[in-house]
Amino acid sequence: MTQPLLRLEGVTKVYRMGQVEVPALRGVDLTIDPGAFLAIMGPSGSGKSTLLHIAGLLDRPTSGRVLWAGDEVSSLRSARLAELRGRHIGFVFQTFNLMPTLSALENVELPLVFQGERPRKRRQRAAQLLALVGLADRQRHRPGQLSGGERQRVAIARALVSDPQLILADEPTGNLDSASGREILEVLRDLNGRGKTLVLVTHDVEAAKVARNILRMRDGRIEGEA
Amino acid sequence: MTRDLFVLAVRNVLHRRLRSWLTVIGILIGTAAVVALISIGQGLQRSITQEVERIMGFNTLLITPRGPGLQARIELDLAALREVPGVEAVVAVRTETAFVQGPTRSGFLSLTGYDPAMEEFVAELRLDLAAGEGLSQRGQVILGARTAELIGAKVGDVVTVEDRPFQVVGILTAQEEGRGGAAYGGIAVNDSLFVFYEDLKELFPGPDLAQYGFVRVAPGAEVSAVKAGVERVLARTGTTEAEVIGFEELTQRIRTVLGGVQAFLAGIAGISILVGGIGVMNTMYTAVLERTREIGVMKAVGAKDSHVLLLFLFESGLMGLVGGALGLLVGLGVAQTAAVVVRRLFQIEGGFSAAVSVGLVIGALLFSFGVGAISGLLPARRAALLPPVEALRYE
Repeated sequence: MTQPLLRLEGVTKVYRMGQVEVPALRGVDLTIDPGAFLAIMGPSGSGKSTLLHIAGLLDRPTSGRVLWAGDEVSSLRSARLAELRGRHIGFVFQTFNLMPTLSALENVELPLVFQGERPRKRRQRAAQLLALVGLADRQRHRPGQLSGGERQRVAIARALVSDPQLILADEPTGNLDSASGREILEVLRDLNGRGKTLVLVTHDVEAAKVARNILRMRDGRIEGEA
Repeated sequence: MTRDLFVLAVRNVLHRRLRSWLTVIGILIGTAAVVALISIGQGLQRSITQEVERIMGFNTLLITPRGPGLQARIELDLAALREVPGVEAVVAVRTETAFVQGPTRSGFLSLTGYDPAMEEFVAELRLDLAAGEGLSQRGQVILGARTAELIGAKVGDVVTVEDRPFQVVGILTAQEEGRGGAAYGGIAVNDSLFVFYEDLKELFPGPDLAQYGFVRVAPGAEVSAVKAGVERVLARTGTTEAEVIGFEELTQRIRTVLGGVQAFLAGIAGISILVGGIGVMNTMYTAVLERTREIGVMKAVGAKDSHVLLLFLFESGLMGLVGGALGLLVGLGVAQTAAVVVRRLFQIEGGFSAAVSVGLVIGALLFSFGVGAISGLLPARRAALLPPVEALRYE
C-alpha cells in the first residue's frame, strides 16, 4: 500500500470572532493519495476553503492531526511550514494573487527565490513553465497587461515551478468567463494526467466534473462522495 | 536570496514613486540640517582654534578679567608677575582717556599703554605702521590714523599728552571700521594713541588697572606650573577678579561653548530626522496594509517570516539611506554656502570653511539608514508575523 501524501485526522478549526466562536471544521478525516484528483464541493461557509488552507499548511487546526507524507506537521515552526509549502505544495487562487509589480516570468520565479535558487536556473525553469501553460510570449507582461485566463495560467505556472507533489486550487475558475474557465480546467486535468496530485475546491458542478473524485461538505463536515 | 529581496525592495519602493519620494524628503531635510550644522560647527571650531593658535601660541598665558564685558579691568602687579619662575616676559595693555594737544587741534582721546615686546609673541597685537617706526624709548608716541589727522600731527612732531611732551615716531595704517579693535580690548585703533606702558602708568598714577595681560612662558618651563605661579601672585596682590587662561584652555573653552551650541542646534535639527523617521514608519505601515495579500501570497509560495521581515526592512532602510545620501549632499552644499556668506560678512582673515570629515559622511549615511530601518522595524514585524491565511483573506 502506498503512503498517503496527506492525511487529516479528526481536524477541527474554530475561528474566534471577538467573543463568538465560529466552528469552521467539526472533525474532518481525509486521505489524499499520490496521483489523486479530488474536488471538494459545498456551499459557501461549509468549510471547504478552511480545509484547503489546513491541507496546504497555511493554517493550523484547532485540534486533530495533519500528516504530510506520514509526518505530523501541524505543530512545526512557521519557517519549516513555509519551506514545506514552497517545495511541495502549489497554490492556485480564485483571484490569481499575482504580484502586480513583477512580470509574468518573475511571478513564476518567486517560489524559487525563497528557496535560494540561482537566478539563471530559476529563470530557465520559469520560462519552461510559462511555455507549458501557453504563455511563452507573455514573459515580460505585468499581470495588469494580461487577461483573467492568462493570469490564472501564470498562477498555475507559479504553482508548478517547484515541481510540487500537491496542487491546491481554490475556485480557480471563479473569476473567469466560461471559456477561460474550461481552458484552466483542461490544464488542471492535463497536470493530473502527468501524475500531479490535485485538490480542487469549487461550488461549480461543471468544474468539479474534471476531478476523479468529488467530496461534498456541509457545516464543517464531509458529507460523503458524490 | 538577500540580493533578490533587495532588488524586490528597490522595485517596490520605485513602484510607489511619489510616496517614496515624499518619505525620502522627510529624511533628507533632517539629515541636511544636521549635516550642515555639524559641518559649519566643525569648520568654526577649526578656524577658531587656528586663529587662537596664531594669535597666542602654545606658550602664552592670557590674564583677563573674569566674566564678560570689555570694560572690566584688573589690577596687575607686573613686577611681581615677572618674578614668577619660568616667566620670560609679562606685558599688559591699559587704556585711559587723555587730553591730547596736537599742532592744529586738541581733545580727549584714548591713550593705550603697551609694550612693543608683546608684538613679538602675540601676532595680533602688531601695530601696522604707515609711516615712521615703532616705539624705541620712553617719551615717544604712535598715532592712530584718524588721531593723526584729527590733531594734525606728522612723524617728528611733538604732541602734548596730559601736559607732557611726546615725540611722534610713527603713524598707523588706517584700519577698516570695526576691525583690529578686539585685540586691544575693544578700543578703536584708528582713534587711539600708543605709548610705553610705563609712560601711561606715570601719567595716570594710582592703581594700575589693565584691560589684560600676557605672560610668556620661558622655553622649557612647564606651562601649568607657570600658570599656578601667576595665579598665586594674583591672589597675593588681591587681584581676584582676574583669571589666567592658557592656549589649551582657551581653545577648550571655545570648543565647549561651540560644542554646546552645536549639540543644541543639531539636537533641534535631529528632531526633524525623528519626524522623517515617523514618516518612514507611516509609509511602511501603509505599505504593509496595502500589500497584506501580497504578503500572504509570498508566504503561500514559501516565503518565511524572516524573508518578509527583511524585504520590508530593506524598503524602509533604502528610503532612509537615499534620504540620508541626498541630505548629506544638500547639507554639505548648505554648509559651504554658509561658509562663503560668513567669510564675506565677517571677513575672517584666517579663512573659514565648512569641515567635511569622513566621520561625518559615514555617520550621516549609517545614521539615516538606521533611522529608516528602525522606523521600518515595527511595520516589518507586523508584516512578517501576519498569519498567511488572514493575509490571503484580506480585502
